[in-house]
Amino acid sequence: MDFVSLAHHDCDLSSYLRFQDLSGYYSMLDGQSYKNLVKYFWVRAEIYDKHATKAEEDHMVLLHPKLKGKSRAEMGLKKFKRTEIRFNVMEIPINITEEVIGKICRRTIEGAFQWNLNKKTSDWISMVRQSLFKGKKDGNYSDMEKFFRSCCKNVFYPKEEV
Amino acid sequence: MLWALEQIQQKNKTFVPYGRLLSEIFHQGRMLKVLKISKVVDDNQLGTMVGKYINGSTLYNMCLVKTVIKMDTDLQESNILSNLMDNFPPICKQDPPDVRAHYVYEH
Repeated sequence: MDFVSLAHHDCDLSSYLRFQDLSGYYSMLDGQSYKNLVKYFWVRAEIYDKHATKAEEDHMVLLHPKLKGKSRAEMGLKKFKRTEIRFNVMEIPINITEEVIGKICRRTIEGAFQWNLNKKTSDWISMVRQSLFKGKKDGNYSDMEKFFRSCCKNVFYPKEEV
Repeated sequence: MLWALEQIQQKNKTFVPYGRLLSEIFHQGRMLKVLKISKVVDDNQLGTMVGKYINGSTLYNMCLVKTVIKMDTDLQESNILSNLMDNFPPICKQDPPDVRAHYVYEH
């Protein structure tokens, strides 16, 4: 994303990035991608969560029925700490956790968004109208445009819950 | 990411999301360093590529601006790698890189 060029064309996204603390994430996006490695990841990666630990325990009980009702430690299994994505490339085991993803995005792992945007005074209203509704102000919307309008109201201009 | 994994593997969806994010994880996790030291893969095998920028030209294609202004500060596509972070959490076992490289080469 070239934010300087976009700002020069009257599309300044810096305030949104500041609220969501995403400038580090967007600067990370500039760089090389490894297409084949990423495709390989999506085919081979596995989720290691509570369901996977349960399957692991069931497998141990199937092999050794005496272990039924025992704890993970007694079965000789590692304690479950957090959900991970596990992947194996060229015999190198890789674990991707929430902490890794947060770190790579150069921000904390909690979400952030801007409350109480005013849909009448927002600077974006003309750009949204131009790109989604072909400049129409109101009325005569097609079904798809009605859908976009509903999304704009509920997603881009959320109201604070009391 | 968990949701995408489920969609791709169980529902046979054919999209490849988070390409750059995963590439950066492999790079920062020192995994690519090991693969390159062991010389078992090259850029062609990894499918190394650089994406396109979203800039003023994109706004022109979306019919949001009528003219595109070229500037000296416009970003250009490049193959420069980002600096490695010092305190990046480990994604694989922390053996010395040459030991891991040797292990990969053996396999």
